[in-house]
Amino acid sequence: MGRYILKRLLIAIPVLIGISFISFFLVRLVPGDTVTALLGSNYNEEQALILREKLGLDQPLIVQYGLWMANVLQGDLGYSSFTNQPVATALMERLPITIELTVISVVFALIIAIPLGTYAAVKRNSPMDYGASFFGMFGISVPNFWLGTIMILVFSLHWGILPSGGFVGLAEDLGGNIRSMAMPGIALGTAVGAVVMRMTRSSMLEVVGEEYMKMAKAKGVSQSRWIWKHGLKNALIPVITVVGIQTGYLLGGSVVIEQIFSLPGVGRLALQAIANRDYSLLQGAILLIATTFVIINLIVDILYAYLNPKIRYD
Amino acid sequence: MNMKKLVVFLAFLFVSFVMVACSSPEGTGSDNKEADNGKQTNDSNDANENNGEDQPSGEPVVGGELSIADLNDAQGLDPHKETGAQSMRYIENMYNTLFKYKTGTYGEIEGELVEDYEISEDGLTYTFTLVDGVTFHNGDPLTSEDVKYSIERIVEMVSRAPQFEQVDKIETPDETTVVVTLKEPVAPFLTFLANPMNAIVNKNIVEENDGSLDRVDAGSGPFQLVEWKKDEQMVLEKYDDYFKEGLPYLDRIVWKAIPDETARTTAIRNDELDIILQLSPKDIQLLEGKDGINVESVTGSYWEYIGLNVNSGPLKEKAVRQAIAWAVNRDELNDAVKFGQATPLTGGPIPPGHWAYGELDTYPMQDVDKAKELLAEAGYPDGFDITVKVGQNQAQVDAAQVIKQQLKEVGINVKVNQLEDSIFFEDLGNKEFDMAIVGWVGFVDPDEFLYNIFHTGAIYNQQGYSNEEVDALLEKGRKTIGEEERKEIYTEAQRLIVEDAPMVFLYANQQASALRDDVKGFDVNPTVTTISLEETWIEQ
Repeated sequence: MGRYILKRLLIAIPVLIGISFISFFLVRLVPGDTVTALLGSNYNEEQALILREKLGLDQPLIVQYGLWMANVLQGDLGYSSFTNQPVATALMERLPITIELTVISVVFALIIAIPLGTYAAVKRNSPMDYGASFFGMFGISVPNFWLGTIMILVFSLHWGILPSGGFVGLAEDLGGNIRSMAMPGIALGTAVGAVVMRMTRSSMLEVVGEEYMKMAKAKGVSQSRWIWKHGLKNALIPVITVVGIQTGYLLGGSVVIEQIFSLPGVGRLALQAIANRDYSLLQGAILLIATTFVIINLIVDILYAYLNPKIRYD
Repeated sequence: MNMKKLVVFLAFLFVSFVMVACSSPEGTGSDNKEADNGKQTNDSNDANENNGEDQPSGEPVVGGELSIADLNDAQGLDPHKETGAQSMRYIENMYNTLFKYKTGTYGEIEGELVEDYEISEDGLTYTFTLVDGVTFHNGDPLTSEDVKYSIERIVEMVSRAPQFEQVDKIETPDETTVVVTLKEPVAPFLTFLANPMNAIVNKNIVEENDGSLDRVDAGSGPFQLVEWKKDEQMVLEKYDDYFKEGLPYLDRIVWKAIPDETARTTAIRNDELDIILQLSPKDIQLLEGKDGINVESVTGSYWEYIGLNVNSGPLKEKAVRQAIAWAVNRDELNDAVKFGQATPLTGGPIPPGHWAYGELDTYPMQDVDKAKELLAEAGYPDGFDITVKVGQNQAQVDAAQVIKQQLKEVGINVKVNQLEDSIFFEDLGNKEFDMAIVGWVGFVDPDEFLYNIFHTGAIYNQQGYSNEEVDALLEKGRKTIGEEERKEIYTEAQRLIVEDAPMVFLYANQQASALRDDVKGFDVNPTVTTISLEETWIEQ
């Protein structure tokens, strides 16, 4: 197992370099550059030239990439061209908030999705199953920004039980933190919950039809043991894959929700970096998101082995 | 790693980029484009308006905390470097300037750190007497040396150097006297000194921080920096030794950046906020008449126009440009795009409410017949095809569609070309457009409204406009001291410009703020300045 993990980590290196390469050129394909964004309406050719030279943007792209990569390999992500703050510092300030948001969303999603999906499969074509299907369609169809806005109107404006936005640190005030993260967590977690629920349901349906499940029933195991131990554990493998991918998306895809709820997370920072063409900050953010994505995938693969001892990686 | 997953992930990243880069999410990118010393903008949220009628009622109450929200957070706190409006909001409350914008007026100024001043006959020598006993937040006295140092630093830091390019020398005969000698008279000089970003900074603090004030407080203003968590909140606390006796009233100000419109308006309706600094026309409609909330508005400094490139095709003809000015229905545009809340500009760019407002009424209403006549006269009886460029501002994109319909009536076929903001401004700067819809915001002195935009070869003369008479008037206005004379000069200059029509002036936007009922003494100002927070208090 140890060797497998090491191998996977080594494979991740070329993947990340590939991502850095693509993202580097991708952000430069977008029209405009740092200088046009910095100067904005005060743009004029002369100032632009001076600034480009100062920021090193006048050099050939491949040279710029080489210089950036050389620094990254030494752990230096550079400085934001707008705020002069080190990119690593800016990202690390924001990362805990995005991680917290992701964790809350995933936990919310799992709490709803796993039991609902399981019961929907076991009690197929019951009202419970139809309810679950409705939730599945709703969660997938409704965009999270709409849900977020509606929740603000209902929970903040009409009922006044939750703040309309803003962030309270976990260390400062636990209650305030939960209150500030509840709505964004739910708004973000609903779609994930819907996807996971559908996956759990279909995977569970498949498992329920297996011979060994009939065998278990014939043997007389209790209903709960039959569902949870014999059924769900076997049904979980594709579910875990989906959860892993969804978690990866959440880390990078919470941009809109962070914007709506004024949360100072990585997504909001990346969004500003795109608008400002703040290359080093944006590249740093992408690299960070990509790295977490790779790590999550690794964790998922390791979990497979735990869930199904038949899977071996050597 | 599974290749399929990687491909999906990369596709997702790419789509996110394209979406963000090509769409126009409100509250990104150009939000801070409103200006400390005038900036071109196409941001609807730069909208400015103001009433100035907000007289404090009753006896001010000392103490309390006020929370105030705007769209986005600042980039940095260095008064001499930043150009974003949000930086200015923080800086003007942490620092003092020699002069300040007079509460409830547009374009007028009064002394702040300057108690008394004298201008020589030739307009070249300014002698300022500073208020005695002013201290910086760290206890250092504010002296004439700091003033000299600050002006020199502004020039060094480039952002606002042009305002001080005529400064020849600065002398400090004693601790409270500063003598500034100019190479040539600069009529708006005192207005420049009132720009909140031309703040007086503490030399010692600058040196302690290796010349960078990005995240520190080197001011003497009514409030001092306590904590700034970017994109979260900015906390300012009362400075107890502030030189104005009894001020400020408030103990604390908490600034919040709330990019989402619903979240922002909900927060004030929920009493989580005391002030929303800038409201969109839609917000105004939503919040007006709500319990416990006052919406106050004035005609602001943000005006929009159609730029006509005078070196491009049919637009070379003055008659064609005038025809477009006659063909545009400003009232219809205002209703369609601004919910009827802007002030149509039928004359020049200086809006009503400003001391130099020209009262011209050159294009009082749409006149299709006249426009057709002018087109025929210029040799285009059947009209022509032309492209209008717009950026990401939704109101300007909408305006382009309405204008397209209006110009169709006189035979001009407009093609709308929408661009990403930074590209759009680059094209404007390079004069690569026929028509463009955009705006300027943040001007205070009439010189700022006109000189850099309409003088031959001036830095923001994107239309390529040139008229010797206008040049002479603008040069004269820059050197003439005295509101009366200057108003005459600028009215004449505007009359000529409006007739030559290098721009079709559309409207001046409202600057509107929402205040909770118990907030008193806050001045909703055309420039969006918040310097009145030192006199703001919360009724118990």
